[in-house]
Amino acid sequence: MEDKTYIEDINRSFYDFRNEDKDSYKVEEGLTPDIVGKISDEKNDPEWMREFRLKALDIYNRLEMAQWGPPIDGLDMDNIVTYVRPKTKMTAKWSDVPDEIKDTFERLGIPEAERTSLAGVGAQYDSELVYHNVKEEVAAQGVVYAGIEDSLRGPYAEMIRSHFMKLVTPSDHKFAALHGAVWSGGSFVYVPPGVSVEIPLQSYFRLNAPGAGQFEHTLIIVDEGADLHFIEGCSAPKYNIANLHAGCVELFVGKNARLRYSTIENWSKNMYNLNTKRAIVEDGGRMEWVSGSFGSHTSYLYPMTILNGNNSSMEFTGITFAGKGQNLDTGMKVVHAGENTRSVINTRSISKDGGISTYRSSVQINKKAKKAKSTASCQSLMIDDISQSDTIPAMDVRTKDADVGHEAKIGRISDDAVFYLMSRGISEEEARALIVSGFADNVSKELPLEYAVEMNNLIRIEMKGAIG
Amino acid sequence: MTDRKIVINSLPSPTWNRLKINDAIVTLPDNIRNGVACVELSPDIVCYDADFPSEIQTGMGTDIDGFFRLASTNGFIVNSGTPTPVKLEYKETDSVCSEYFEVEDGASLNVIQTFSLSEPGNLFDRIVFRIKKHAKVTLTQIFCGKSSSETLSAVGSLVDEGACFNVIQIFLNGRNYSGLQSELIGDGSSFSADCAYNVGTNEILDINYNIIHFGKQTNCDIKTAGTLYGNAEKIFRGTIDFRRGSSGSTGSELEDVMLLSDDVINKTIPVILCKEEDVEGNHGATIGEIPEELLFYLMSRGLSAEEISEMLARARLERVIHLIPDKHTQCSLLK
Repeated sequence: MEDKTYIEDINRSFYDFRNEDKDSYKVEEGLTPDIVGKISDEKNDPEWMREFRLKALDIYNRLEMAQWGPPIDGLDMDNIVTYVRPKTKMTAKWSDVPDEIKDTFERLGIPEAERTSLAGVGAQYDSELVYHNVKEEVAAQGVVYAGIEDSLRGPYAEMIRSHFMKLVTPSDHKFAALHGAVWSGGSFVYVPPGVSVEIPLQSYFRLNAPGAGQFEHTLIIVDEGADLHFIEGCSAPKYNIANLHAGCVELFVGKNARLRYSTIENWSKNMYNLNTKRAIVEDGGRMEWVSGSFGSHTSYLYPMTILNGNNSSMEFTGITFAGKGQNLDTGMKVVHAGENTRSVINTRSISKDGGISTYRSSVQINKKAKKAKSTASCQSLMIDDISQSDTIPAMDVRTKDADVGHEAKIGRISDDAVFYLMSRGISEEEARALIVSGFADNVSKELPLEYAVEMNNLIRIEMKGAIG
Repeated sequence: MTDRKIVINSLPSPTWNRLKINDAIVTLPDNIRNGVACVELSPDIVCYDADFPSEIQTGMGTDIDGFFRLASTNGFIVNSGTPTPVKLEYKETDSVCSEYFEVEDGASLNVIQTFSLSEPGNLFDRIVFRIKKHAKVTLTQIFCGKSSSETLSAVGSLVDEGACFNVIQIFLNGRNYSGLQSELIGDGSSFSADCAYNVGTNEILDINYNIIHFGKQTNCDIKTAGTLYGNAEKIFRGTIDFRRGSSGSTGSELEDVMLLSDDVINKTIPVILCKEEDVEGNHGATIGEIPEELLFYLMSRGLSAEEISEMLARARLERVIHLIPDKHTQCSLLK
């Protein structure tokens, strides 16, 4: 009997290698003022940061868990190690990175990508940056791309202090507060006025230690008239115990500046991905999100944009693939505050093999956001009848002088479309593969070629069987 | 005695709390009486005192059912097609009413409810339907109380194989809360809703539709359109829920809101929940003011901006008024 047509799950074996957990230092499990104090000591934090961490811990203890969204009962903070320092310091040369860690990033293609197509790279292993470098010609333009912790003391200290967790505050939600208390690693980027960084910068996050959390903080300031593409990637080997990612990304897009933030998220299926990303855009500025979510056991991920300035705009392009054992709750939020602002949202999701995919969004048009315009299109594809796909888009409009449109569709691969392609001589298997590839095309065509290839490798569709 | 607050119209799948869109909170007065609707009824409908039909849930939720139990439930059994609609009029302030219709196989029924409180006060009504195989029910609800009156209408239905439940709602005045749930339990059953509204100064409209597809090849079609002006506040929650096993089903939801003031608050959340692969679900929403091109076109034909607003708002209402299966009711509304 021939096999029924199916779509292969994303092939993670490429990422599912692990190194022995040979950290140099690790705090004990759990979350107490003592542990937060130890992390602050390890980092040699300035005094204001130590106080900040402890206040954030207070807020964390006071805030309730959200009552909406996927269950996170499997996450027990008493069993999470919030800080794991690998046996190395940060360096600007791959040759100085310990072999095992360097090999990890070599396997992931990071050094090669840096050589061929990136302006700079930051590589984080467990709780610390192990490598950070920016090309000379980019640095010569005045672009700063450095570890954020190192930048807490230096010429940009005041800039960082005035921006750090001002966009995503610890009181925002419980895991923002957690991040504020135990954050570690991450990058600081500053692009001076008028500077266009022609090729992307990238950060890559690798979580190796089982039962650990990663809480990197990314702070990017793109000054007036500047232009930057930033790419973020992540992965981890799979363990039988929970890992937690509660990173934070704060993006400040200045007047007439442009920032594109691309993410390929491929955490392992034991990961709880509770990441917070937020951008604020000034007059004439533009924010572009490109987001591919393929990994994690459970995700809460809603990049948010505040269109603060007049004539500012945002474009969000995303795809989510929820396979077996995954509950991925993703989407976006946008607030139109300035006049003549624009937002365009285009998302896709695929659910298969019992996976649960939820698209959750919020479009808010404030009273003073005259001539605001927002359009959203959301499409969901269900591959079988044991999966689940939900769409929960909220719109809140408080002025008549706005134009808001939203559409969503949910369904399976169209039999008519398959028939059409087959009548043109394409086999059913190829036809279904073509349709699903095309479905994911909205994101892959926005990425640099190397990342589009990686994304398509992640999806890798295998079709078998006759008409089923 | 103090009034108590209760949560109604909850989203089956809630979202961010800070949006304040997951549900509504209303105050239930302690001084309430068992209300009686004025009824126009065809003689072939059997009336009786029914037990409270708790097995049929409404879109308002079960928390408020305890309050509705204060009313005695008027039961109706419909055995065949009725030539004239059942007309229920509600005019008593501070009253609570409950109705249960059992529509037998192949029967058809039109019910027209008119809520027209003429003084400030509250009115609560719960109306549910058990619609058996191949039966057809059309429920028309007209909300035309004073601006300061508050009406809560809970509607529920169980729709059996091949049966249809069509709802027409027209909101003209007042502070209105409507919670509607329809469970399409039989294969081939269907639900449709056509809703039109005008919400003005100091008025609220809070709608919660929850359509659950259980059977195969079930269909739902929801269209809502209306106008907000002054400091009107409107929330529309529409959930289409495809359960596992509802293969071959389709669901569609469309909202069109015209905003005529900068003081309005419009919240829309069209939700699709899907556990079944072989379905088609879609929703769309458009929210905004009168398009400039249309405004220009009509003004160049001699109409003022106010006349245009009134004309377009009226058009939204009239489209739905013309669907009411009773000429007399249509005419009195069109006046």
